[in-house]
Amino acid sequence: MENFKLKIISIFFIIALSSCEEFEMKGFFTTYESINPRFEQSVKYNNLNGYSKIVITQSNYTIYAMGDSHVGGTKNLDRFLKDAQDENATAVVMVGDLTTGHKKDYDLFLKHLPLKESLVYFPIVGNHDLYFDGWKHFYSIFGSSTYIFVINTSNESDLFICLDTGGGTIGSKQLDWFKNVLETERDNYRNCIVFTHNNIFRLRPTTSANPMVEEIHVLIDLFLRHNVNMVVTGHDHKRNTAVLGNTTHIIMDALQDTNSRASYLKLSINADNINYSFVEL
Amino acid sequence: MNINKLKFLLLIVVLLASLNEIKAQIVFQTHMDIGENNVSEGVFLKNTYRGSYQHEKLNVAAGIQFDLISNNPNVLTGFDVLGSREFTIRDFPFDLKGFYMLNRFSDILHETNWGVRIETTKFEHFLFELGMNNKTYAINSKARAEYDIDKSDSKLRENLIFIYSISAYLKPHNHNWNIGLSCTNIDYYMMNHSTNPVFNLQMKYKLKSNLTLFAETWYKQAGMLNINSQYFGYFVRGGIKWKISN
Repeated sequence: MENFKLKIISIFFIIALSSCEEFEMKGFFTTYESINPRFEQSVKYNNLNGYSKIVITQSNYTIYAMGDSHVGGTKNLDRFLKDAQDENATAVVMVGDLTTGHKKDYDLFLKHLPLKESLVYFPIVGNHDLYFDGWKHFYSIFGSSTYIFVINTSNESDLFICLDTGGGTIGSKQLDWFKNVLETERDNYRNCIVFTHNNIFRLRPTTSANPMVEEIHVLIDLFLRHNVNMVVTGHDHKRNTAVLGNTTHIIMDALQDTNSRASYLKLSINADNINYSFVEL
Repeated sequence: MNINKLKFLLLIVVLLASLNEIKAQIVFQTHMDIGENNVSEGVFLKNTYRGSYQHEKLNVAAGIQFDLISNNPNVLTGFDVLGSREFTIRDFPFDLKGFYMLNRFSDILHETNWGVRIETTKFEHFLFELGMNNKTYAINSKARAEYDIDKSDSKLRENLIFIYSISAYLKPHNHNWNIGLSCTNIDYYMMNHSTNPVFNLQMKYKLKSNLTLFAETWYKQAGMLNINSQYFGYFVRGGIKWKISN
């Protein structure tokens, strides 16, 4: 009996500390780099490189967004990037789980990205990107995962905030930064859209994790208080939308090649509205 | 608070009073929580008062929570009522519980939870509790006016949430002292999603036949057993449970 118990415990720990190509069981219990150190590195990068400001002459523009490409496969990623380029998207936002965390997949992802001169893109880290010590690769390739960017049209300015929730929490330091951005910057802009990996609400039966409910409380209070227009996330792999107050919450489908219902999100922003549509692949 | 809620509360009070007259068992409990987490902006200190009335197989309980130190501008931050009845099916005893819980986590928003759960103490060293929770986030009427929000956009109901509490104890349930470890997604005024298990270590000591001291430490890890997991927060709970009448 004792031997049997020992075997069961050993098997559990072997599974827990092992890994496969897609995900790392170790990540279920711990992480290589937690949110506060990651945020500090993002801030360091931001201080050196500044934030992007995109100036366009027209008043209407489009943003393309996708999540959960989980490269390996690049068929859907290529289509997404081609569509964005063909339709002159003002920017592309990629909300995490872009890779499996392996260096070879980061390298493959990078190989498929067009030059920054031909397409402006903004990547955010997701939980899968952090497996296998993936943050090191993300940081060396893309730099920050917590930042803002601004789009100035002929007569208005819009604010876009990108947050790192790859570890399932926003973390205390990033939360302070987010609050500060909303308090000091929000009122200077017409629209404010937040992009992050983890979906805030649980809108369907699913095994994917949401933030802790205490964190949801703080975030939805901030979204309401500062009139955040839209929160765009991935993580749950299946599209969903919900409205609370003046904030529209959008969960995107996974762009992953193996997803039979893969799609990406197209945001059309004009003087009066932010319209969204899902483009199926 | 609307009229329906008021009627509901009144009904509970009448029910409690009537139970008192027929020699019900009354239990009073108070506890303090002290801790911190990624979003608490420092240490929080909460105080809870709970009362329960048991008559034969029926039990009704209610409680309130006060935030003494926290980043929540409200002082009264939680309220709950819970009704339960004991059943036995083929030597398998269990309690069927119905609950309602209000969490006033902000001065502009609140959260309501209601649902059912089943608890069994069939096994001397284990306690299992399973159920479903219906969670709704809602914007307060004052904030609706302030932020110009249509009533139809003022509530967001999440998908049904599976709730659980699995506990293992060193001693049988009725022992004078005990130590236990729980994995759960529920607490008195916090109902997490099923994918966010929280662990707590519990201790209790019966000072007298009607007086029990208890202490708990809760550890919260974001994304535990699900995604790239990392520390979220902890808190320590200390309290007293007093059986006023038998």
